[in-house]
Amino acid sequence: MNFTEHTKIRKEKFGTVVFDTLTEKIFITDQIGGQILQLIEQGKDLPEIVSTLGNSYDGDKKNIEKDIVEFTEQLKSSNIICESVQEQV
Amino acid sequence: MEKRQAEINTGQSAVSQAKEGEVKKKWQKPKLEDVSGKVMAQPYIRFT
Amino acid sequence: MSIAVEDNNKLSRLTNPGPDEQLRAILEGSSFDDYNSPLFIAWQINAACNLGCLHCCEEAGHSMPDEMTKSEALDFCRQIAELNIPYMAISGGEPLLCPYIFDVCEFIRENNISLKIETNGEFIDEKVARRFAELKLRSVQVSLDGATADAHERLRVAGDWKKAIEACEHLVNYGVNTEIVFVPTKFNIHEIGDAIDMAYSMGAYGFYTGKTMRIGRAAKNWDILCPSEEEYEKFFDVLQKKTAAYEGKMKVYYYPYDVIEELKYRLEAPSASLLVVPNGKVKLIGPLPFICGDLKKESLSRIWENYKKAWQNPAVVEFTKKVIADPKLLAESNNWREVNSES
Repeated sequence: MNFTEHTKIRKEKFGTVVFDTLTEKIFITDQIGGQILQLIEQGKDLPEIVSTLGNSYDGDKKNIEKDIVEFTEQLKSSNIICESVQEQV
Repeated sequence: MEKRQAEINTGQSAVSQAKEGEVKKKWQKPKLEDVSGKVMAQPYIRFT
Repeated sequence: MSIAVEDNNKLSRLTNPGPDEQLRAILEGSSFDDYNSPLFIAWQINAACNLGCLHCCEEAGHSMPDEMTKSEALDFCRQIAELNIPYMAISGGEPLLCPYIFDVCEFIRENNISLKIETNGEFIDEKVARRFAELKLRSVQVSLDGATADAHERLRVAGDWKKAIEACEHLVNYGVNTEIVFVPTKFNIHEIGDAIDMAYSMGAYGFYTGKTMRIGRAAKNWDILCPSEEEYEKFFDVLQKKTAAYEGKMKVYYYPYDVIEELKYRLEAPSASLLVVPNGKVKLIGPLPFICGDLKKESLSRIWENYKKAWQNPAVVEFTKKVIADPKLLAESNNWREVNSES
């Protein structure tokens, strides 16, 4: 997973803000969303992200995985991330 | 050199796994909200 | 001129290009001082201009003696990239007269920062249009102050309306998002409807206008420039109709507030943006004379912190209130002063 090249991400006091500079859409996410973005930025793949956050948080592991997958799907459909460089818009 | 596609200005250290014995925070489903209508990127037009 | 029908998908790519009621709906839980760095940089890259427009906010037309060098400019750009600032607009003067404009544009775009260029268009030939297209700019905004050469050139002293039109044609031909900006004055306000139609026929995706700001040369020429209330009423009536008529085809956007209204609003809710002038100094906002930093001496990060504090400075607040009460003081906008000095 990679960020699309027109994406800029900033952690602010009120949350992590994602700028799609191509469409000028702006998204905001919470602390856990920000951590997922940070892990993607570090080059972690989905299993690694699920593992890291699954061990960091108290919750049903299956639910955590489901939520993370759903979140990354939302990032993909919003054109914030793509699977590989070739997929970039 | 591989160019970074995005940077996160976190000001925080990397997410670390909870140490054994530490009380973990309760998981909350992460949300992604489109706030494009609320945050104005270009705050003004100048008329010259 | 051929009719160019815009692809609706392309138009919907971009959100609102300027301030309006949406500004009032600030993100819940945040204000400008919650941001670690600005969201937007407005950069007047130079003061040189080939024109002497009667309404020029910057009173451009001659270089400043201490304008930033290429090295200083690129260092500034590097800081913009490091701070992850997503949006930038470059103007001047006439930015295409800046010898390093393309070095700057290339750096900014290599760092995936959205970039808009504001220009009089007179130096945009096919080659420049192609270059802009390759940079994948957010947009190029061309000043067109009339549907006729007479109106445009009366205002834009030494200007060439035909060149501005040709610039738009070149830009549109190369697929550059082309915006037109129109400044209403007594000389041209009656041409607003025709100017909008002309913009659409050229393939512009956006036409922007609003009340003329009483700053810079506009302030000095206010008596001969300022439209009457009646003229403005007709103007906004036409704009309302044209906005509806071009819905889905071309953005017709107008800022309904004058600069005094803007100042009242900004006193309560400063924008998360910085205005950089050609010598590297940073202004709080165009209509006020206050400087909150100097890029030649301080980091952009430090200047952002200065900016946040400056809006609370009693001298700034007091002077702004004076300007609101007496708009003639807008003539001070280019008499720059450090924010700590007494007003």
